[in-house]
Amino acid sequence: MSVLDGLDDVGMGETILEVDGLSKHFQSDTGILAGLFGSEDVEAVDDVSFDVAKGETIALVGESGCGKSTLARTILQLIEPTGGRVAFKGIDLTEHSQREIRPLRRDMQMIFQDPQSSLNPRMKVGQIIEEPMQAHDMYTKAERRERAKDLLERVELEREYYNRYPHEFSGGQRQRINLARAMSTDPDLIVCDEPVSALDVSVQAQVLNTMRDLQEEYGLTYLVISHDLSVVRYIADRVAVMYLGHIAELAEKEELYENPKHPYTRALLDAIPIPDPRSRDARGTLEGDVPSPINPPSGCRFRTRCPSLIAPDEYDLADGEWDRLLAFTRAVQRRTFVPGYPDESEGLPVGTVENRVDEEYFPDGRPDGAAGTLVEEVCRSIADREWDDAQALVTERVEERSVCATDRPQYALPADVGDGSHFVGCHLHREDAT
Amino acid sequence: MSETILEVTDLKTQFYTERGVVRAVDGVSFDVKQGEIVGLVGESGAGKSVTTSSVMRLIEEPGEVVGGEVDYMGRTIVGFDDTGEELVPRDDMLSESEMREDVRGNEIAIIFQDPMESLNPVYTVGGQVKEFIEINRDIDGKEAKAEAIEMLRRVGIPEAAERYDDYPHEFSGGMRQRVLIAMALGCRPNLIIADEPTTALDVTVEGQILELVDDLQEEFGTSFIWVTHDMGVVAEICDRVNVMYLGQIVEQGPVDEIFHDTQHPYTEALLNSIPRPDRTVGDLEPIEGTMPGAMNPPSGCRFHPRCPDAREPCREVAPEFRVAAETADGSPHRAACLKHEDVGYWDAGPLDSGASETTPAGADAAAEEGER
Repeated sequence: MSVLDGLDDVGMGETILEVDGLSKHFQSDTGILAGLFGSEDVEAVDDVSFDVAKGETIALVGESGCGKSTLARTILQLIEPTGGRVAFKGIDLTEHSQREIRPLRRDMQMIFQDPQSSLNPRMKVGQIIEEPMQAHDMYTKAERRERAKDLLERVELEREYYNRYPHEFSGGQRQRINLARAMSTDPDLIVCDEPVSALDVSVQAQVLNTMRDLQEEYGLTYLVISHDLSVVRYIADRVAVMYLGHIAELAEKEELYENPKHPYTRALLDAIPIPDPRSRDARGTLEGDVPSPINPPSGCRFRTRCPSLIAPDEYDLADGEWDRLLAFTRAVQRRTFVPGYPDESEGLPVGTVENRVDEEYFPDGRPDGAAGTLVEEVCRSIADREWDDAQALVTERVEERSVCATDRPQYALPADVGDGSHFVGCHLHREDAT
Repeated sequence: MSETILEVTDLKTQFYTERGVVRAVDGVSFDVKQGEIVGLVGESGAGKSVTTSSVMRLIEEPGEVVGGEVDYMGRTIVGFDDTGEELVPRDDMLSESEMREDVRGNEIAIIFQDPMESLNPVYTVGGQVKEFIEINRDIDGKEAKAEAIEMLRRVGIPEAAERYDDYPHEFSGGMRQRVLIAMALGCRPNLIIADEPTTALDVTVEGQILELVDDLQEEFGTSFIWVTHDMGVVAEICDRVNVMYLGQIVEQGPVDEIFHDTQHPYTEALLNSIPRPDRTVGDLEPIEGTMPGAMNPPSGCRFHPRCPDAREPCREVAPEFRVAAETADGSPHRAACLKHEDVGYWDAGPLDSGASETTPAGADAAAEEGER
């Protein structure tokens, strides 16, 4: 019995792809020693869930290293997941062997970022486009040839290019050839990994428009991976923002761009330069770097950089006081606070450090109670040049006591724009959740 | 208005290849004033990087600067005498050793796109910054080290003193780029040429770096030539902009006028073809075709085969680069388009520009792409 017998017929707008709790953890070390002592896992993708409807374009956006490409490859089973399931047209891909799902692959195609290296330079354009059809035993030889020429026309190239080689084409034209190849098996889903990021701006628009036209004509479903929020705003219907292997936020496009709820999404949108000199404004720049995916932060993975970290319950602080304590915490964690040591080995009297800290972070007075005691302890460590201790103190006693560190936030909210739902991975919205 | 520090006039740079002469830069003129950020924008192959390399006299075989003038604060970086038959380098042109000792690094510094290739992997990051400062400024030893650490801290390297002895591979891409900026700034140059310094970086890191450039420019009054293909970055930081197409500047003016009183159809088309992060656009209008090779540029206006506004004369008459519009601050807004000339453009019929849409890029363009 073939896997294909269980295949559902999916109508437009119905769920074609289900991703449920999908994880991919890589081993950071391999070899004998790692085998003996065990190695730490790189949590490239961790417990990600979402659905894709037939005919829509869903985009995964995020910065380099956030796991978006790994997620796409894991969905296609090009990489074996370490947990969770993926169902395509009702068939659980994770339950079957590569051999069993092979016939399904004609319905799920992929195009890659680099149009230069994703086309075999020794093959003619015609052969390149026919290859997937041949691999799946589709059509006769003559039919394949005719179909390849038709497809060239569909992607706005010429039938005559059939006998040319890839090097004769520009980047944009090569990406069209990739599209034609992906289309050849008449797929339902095309995964596009940074489809236009290697192209010049004027050519980007050509390829994006062709992708749109093809979707309209054939009811294609796109899963687009991109770091470019402008491109995503142009082509996507729904957008998932990823950060360090988690989905931070997922909503319909207008809702996400006009009403972003996750502090990371906001920072990301704030950072994009807008092509209009009249909308220059103060950028809210995000501080720090993305932490390592080996032992990623607990709870919300963005908490180590989040400007809106929630105050731990045990500190009873007014809003302004908490903001100042958080600013002090970040300054110690990143060592941007310069106490002004006299030379390379000597420390400073505690009083001097406390004065400098008060001056810079607590001009209206240090907080009372537990928080005040903590600041004193931290100052003592800094005075003795024990920075590791100081950093551990603020991290353990401030950041890690926050709900942001203890629980992983996952909330579904009603959307303000449109009628879809809005997934937010942030505790700031725990009270709005439905 | 502050004084002009760099003046480039009719600069021409060619590359001699087996297939023929590539006119990578073909008559480019622009200037930079003290304390401003001047943008050089265009698509790949427009000649942006060749222009900046020519200004620094870093063009190597088989390329050569064949004409024009580059004047930096009264000193001649590039200059020629016309003997009637050919152009010969002028006597007052700075020698190679003068360029090396007096100009590069301490007067004009350059930051390249790829930070991994610009840092030596076998020396520590701090050591490289310190060496740069020692070579280009009259300080050394402890003082130079302190300055290096200070610069690293200023560009936002966390724990700068501790990371001084790290090697480049221990830094992330964004941090390496910041190190290059620290190196350039540490030499206190008057002008920094930044060649796509943020293109390879993530947006949040790019945001951090643009912010930093703003701050540092305010503090040190450094001028910048910012090379980019990203109109968003241009809008964000530049004071004046030069738009390049196929080896020439097609439009030049203050940033607000470039975006809101656009005078060249190429600039217009470029702006209409970019997706916007701040609003949802219904349909983008792509520029048709691709940029042809610089080996055999189109006759007349080089943009005419792709120009939506092209008319008969555009095919034959090469447009002059001239003032095209008034500006708010009085600095010139120039464009090279026949619309602004009296050559019968407005009486002529439109060209059938759609004809070129489906022409394959051809071996010519592809071969050039391969060379880059």
